[in-house]
Amino acid sequence: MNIELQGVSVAFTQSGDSTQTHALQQIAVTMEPGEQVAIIGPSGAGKTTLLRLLATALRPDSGELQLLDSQPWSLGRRALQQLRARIALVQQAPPLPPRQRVVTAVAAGRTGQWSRLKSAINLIYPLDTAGIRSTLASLDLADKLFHRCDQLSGGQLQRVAIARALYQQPQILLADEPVSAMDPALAEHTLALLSRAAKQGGASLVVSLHNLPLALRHFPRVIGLREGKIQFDKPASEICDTELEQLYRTARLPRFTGQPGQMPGPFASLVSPRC
Amino acid sequence: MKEARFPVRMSNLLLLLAISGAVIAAFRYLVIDITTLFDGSGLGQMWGYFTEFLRPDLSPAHLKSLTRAALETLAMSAVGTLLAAGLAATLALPAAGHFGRIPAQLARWLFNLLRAIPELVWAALVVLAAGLGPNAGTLALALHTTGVLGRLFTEALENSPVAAAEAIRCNGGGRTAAFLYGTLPTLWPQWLAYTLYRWENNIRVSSVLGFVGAGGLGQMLYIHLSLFQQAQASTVILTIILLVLAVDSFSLWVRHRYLTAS
Amino acid sequence: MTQSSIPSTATQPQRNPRDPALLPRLMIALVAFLLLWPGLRLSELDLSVLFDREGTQAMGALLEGAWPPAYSPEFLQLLWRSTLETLAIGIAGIALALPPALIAALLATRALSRSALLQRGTPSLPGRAVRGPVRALLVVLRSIPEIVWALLFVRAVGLGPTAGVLAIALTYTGMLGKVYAEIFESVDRRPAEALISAGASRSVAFLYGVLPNAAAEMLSYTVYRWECALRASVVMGFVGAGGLGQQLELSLRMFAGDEVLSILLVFLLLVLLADQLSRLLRERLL
Repeated sequence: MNIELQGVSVAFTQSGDSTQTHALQQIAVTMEPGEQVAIIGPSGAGKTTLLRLLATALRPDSGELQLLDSQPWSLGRRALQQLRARIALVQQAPPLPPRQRVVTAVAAGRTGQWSRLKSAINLIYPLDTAGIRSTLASLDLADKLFHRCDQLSGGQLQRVAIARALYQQPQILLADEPVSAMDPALAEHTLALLSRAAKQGGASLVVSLHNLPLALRHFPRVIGLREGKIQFDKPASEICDTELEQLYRTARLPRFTGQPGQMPGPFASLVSPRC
Repeated sequence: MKEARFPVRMSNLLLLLAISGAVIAAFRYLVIDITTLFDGSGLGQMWGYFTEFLRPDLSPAHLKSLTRAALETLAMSAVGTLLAAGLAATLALPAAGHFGRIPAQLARWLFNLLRAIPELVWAALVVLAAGLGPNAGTLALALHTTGVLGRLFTEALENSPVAAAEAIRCNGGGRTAAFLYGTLPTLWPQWLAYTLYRWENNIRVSSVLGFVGAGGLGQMLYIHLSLFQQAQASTVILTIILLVLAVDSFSLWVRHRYLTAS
Repeated sequence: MTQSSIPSTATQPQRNPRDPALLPRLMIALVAFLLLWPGLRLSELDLSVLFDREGTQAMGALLEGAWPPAYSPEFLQLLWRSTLETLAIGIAGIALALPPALIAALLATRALSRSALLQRGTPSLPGRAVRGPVRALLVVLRSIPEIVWALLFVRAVGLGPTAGVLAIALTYTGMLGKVYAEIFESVDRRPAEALISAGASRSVAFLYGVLPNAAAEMLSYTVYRWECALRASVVMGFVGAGGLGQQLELSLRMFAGDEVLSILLVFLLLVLLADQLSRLLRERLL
């Protein structure tokens, strides 16, 4: 068992306000090693919170969390750090220091496995530039190896963050909207690469996406999240139109009825109704 | 803009009156001294004294010892500032709370103490312990500057964004790696800018630490003035001006070239 | 762990691409080392003197009598007078620096340049012939450390606070003059330009166009500089320019540790109070 959550909840309290926002409620998910899962859902559904939870950046308020056969929050500091080194999270807006060079930003991915001395040396003189370049090459960024991060576009920065996660060689790879700033062709290519890299290494892959066609095309299993709760957790082929509509339904947006002569519903082109 | 304009203006007026009163009181307190200055012979004396500076001594021998003293002063300011930057950087981490509250309080208290005592006073104290010469000046400068830079470095550290460092810790990096790869890239340009800015100040200071025996141009100036050798003293003063201008320009150039916001 | 992870994508060993930053970094390191070595020799840096026997003996002699700080009535009276003297030196010095600083700033600033207005930006040559030397004079006044002036004045007019007042007045004319000129140039120029192009004289343009906007900032900077002048006057006292500094030098020479401690404590208190007062005043003004 690679990932297991039972009854996990996370709540945030606004400072100066006694109300609580329930970001995640009673989440139960189980994943085997090597699985590839997409998380979809409307904005504010809790996708980012869920990914951060899986990355042990957040602590659950209730429930049980097991990652890679350990319970992260009952580990000592050293053991938790070692566990984290086997899990990589690619954030939506990658916090890469502007003046840092791409080669150093990617090298930062392995600092969890290096000694302090080696990390310090790599800061001034990168030792494994060949390895870093080949990682960047798979993302079409090999020529940006020695460029500074503030010389890159948003899509390129996202790819650098992905390169860092790949360079880390983790057993669980998490990505929060990793292709949001990329054009459709690049997004396809990048997701395919992520999927292939994870498969080659036998690592689990969990990606949150708001582009539904991409999610349904690249991932065999899809979890739908809405208002902190799991609406469905199924193979992509078994998801139907109405389920998607229910997931993304908001009272403010007009509903399409899909009658002949009118604009088709937003999800009609994706799947044929099966339920 | 406050609504009630009249009361505000009234208190500002009182403030102005208080300040004028203080100025008048100050002059009256010193009035005895000032009148002796402005009587006939006093002014004449001063004028005579100052005109002797208009013929600086430019002999090769004097210029040679001047060059050495100037280099000594430059070295004092540079090494002292560098030493202070190193100490301040080391102590900034505990001062920003990375090792707990008590080390933070201690470090900040140390910075305040080092800052509060002027460099010249430190120099006089260090001369007692270390003897005459540029060593005392370098150490005194380092002590005071550690306090100043320490506070600036700590503020910069506290204001630097944490997202990058947190991301590295999230992916298994230790605290050292998170600092080196996440915080330092944004931090070091600021620290360097502060250090250069302080060096500009320190070159002025180190040219006068010699007044209490700490070597360099200051010591030369003090000796010449004590021996009433105005011509030689005048060249020393000119050298000080040149040195200050040179360091100011160099520091400005470095800051513009390497540290303008990207 | 038996689970595998994402493999490195390099299938064959490749040569490491050359790091373009390596050479510049090595050069900088080399230059730094080449400069540091003579620098260390010239400054004679030697931290061990702080810990060797002679040094600690001298410090010990000072520290031995340092606690408790001197508080005899005669000394306290002396301390009080010295403090008042230091305050007076600071205030009088700045007050004396204000008129010449203002005049110099008016002469040096480009904010009132009639020619700049007419020629769209570049002041005329005669204008620059006046501004240039004035600016240069201000720079020179600022570059000579005030304590040098203090020493010169002590030699010229004798020991005592007058030397301090004159030294502060000269140096701070330079400092205040430069900053005032910059403040004039940084405020909104349109009122002054409107007045000048309407034919008003430059003094009218200044009083009604520039001064109202600049006054608060000028006062704020002056208060900040007064605080510095206070600290400077203590330092200048060290070379005989009166006040707490002169007293400190005397006590230090006599190895009277308790007096030194008292004076230092009073100095710290004075600086603290001045800092608070300055902050209060500046908040009021801005």
